[in-house]
Amino acid sequence: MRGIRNRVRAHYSATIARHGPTPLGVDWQNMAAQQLRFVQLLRICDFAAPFSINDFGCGYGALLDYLKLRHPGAKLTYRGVDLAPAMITQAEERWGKRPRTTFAVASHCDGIADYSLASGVFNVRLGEPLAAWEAYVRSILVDLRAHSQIGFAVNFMLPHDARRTERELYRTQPELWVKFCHKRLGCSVEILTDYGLREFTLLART
Amino acid sequence: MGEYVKQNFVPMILAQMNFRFGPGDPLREIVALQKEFEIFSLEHSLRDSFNLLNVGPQDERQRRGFFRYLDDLKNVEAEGVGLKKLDGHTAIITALKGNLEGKSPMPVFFAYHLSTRGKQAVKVTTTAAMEFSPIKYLTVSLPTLPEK
Repeated sequence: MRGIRNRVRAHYSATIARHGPTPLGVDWQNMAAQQLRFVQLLRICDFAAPFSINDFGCGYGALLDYLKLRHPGAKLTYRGVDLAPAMITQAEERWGKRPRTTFAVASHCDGIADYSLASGVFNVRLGEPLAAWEAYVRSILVDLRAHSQIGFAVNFMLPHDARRTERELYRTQPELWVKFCHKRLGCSVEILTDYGLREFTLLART
Repeated sequence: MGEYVKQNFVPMILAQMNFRFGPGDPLREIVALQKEFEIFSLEHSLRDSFNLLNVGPQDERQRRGFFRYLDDLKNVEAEGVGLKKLDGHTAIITALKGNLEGKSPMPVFFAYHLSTRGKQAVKVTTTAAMEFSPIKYLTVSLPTLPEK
């Protein structure tokens, strides 16, 4: 697992170095689609009351941009975690002065929160063998479950209709991960699809 | 467009626009983005909308030129059903918004045509833009002037 993490860290360190704190810097094509993913992931959260959140794979803190725009009154305690030190440097520069906001370079969540979110962290497989990548995905889901009091939300890319998945990417149908989160992690699972992107969002309530 | 953006960037910009609004997954995505964020709205400029979609050259100077071109469409006329009284910039927003929020959104094809100075107009039509395909597109043709 350490080898995969090192390669993921190297990949995202390179993207942020090349593109800076922009959607391209975290491998998303544009801000609008990046924020459409946040819309789905945040459906796990109840904005009626204050809450805390772990943002695993937080990148340069784009989730906070979205929250400021769409949920300016939300009372939330935020912890952003990323494998890549360059991402955390950018996130701290942009959001370090926000109250109740902290960041850490880490390969797992390091504190319990009401909710944990991870956007796009499973998509770029970097040519890793499928079995190894799915073991990596499982390890992250176990970690998100362990650090979430109410629930967690993640997204995955769906397969193409008529062509094979690119070797660099990971695409999957929901069933495998619904079963894992339900049977192995003991969660109640909801799947969101049909929101305009070839992917699904998995909401797991503990 | 060549007055604002170097000639060799123009095909790339049109390719980006046509890919972003193309049939299938791209159209589904842009329709969803319009539904969620109202990307194309008279409250936003085309510059902001295309910037949000990351459409435009990565080269900063050329990107500024492209956005300036979009801004300057406010100074040209428009041709198309229900668009004739609008300026080019407003006509494009109106046409895209109407299409993407409609019952059967069409993919959008962006092209350009040659105009003469003072008579430039954005042209919006519905056509089978790809001669080899029966798919109907909302076609937005952007005015250009001959190089001096």
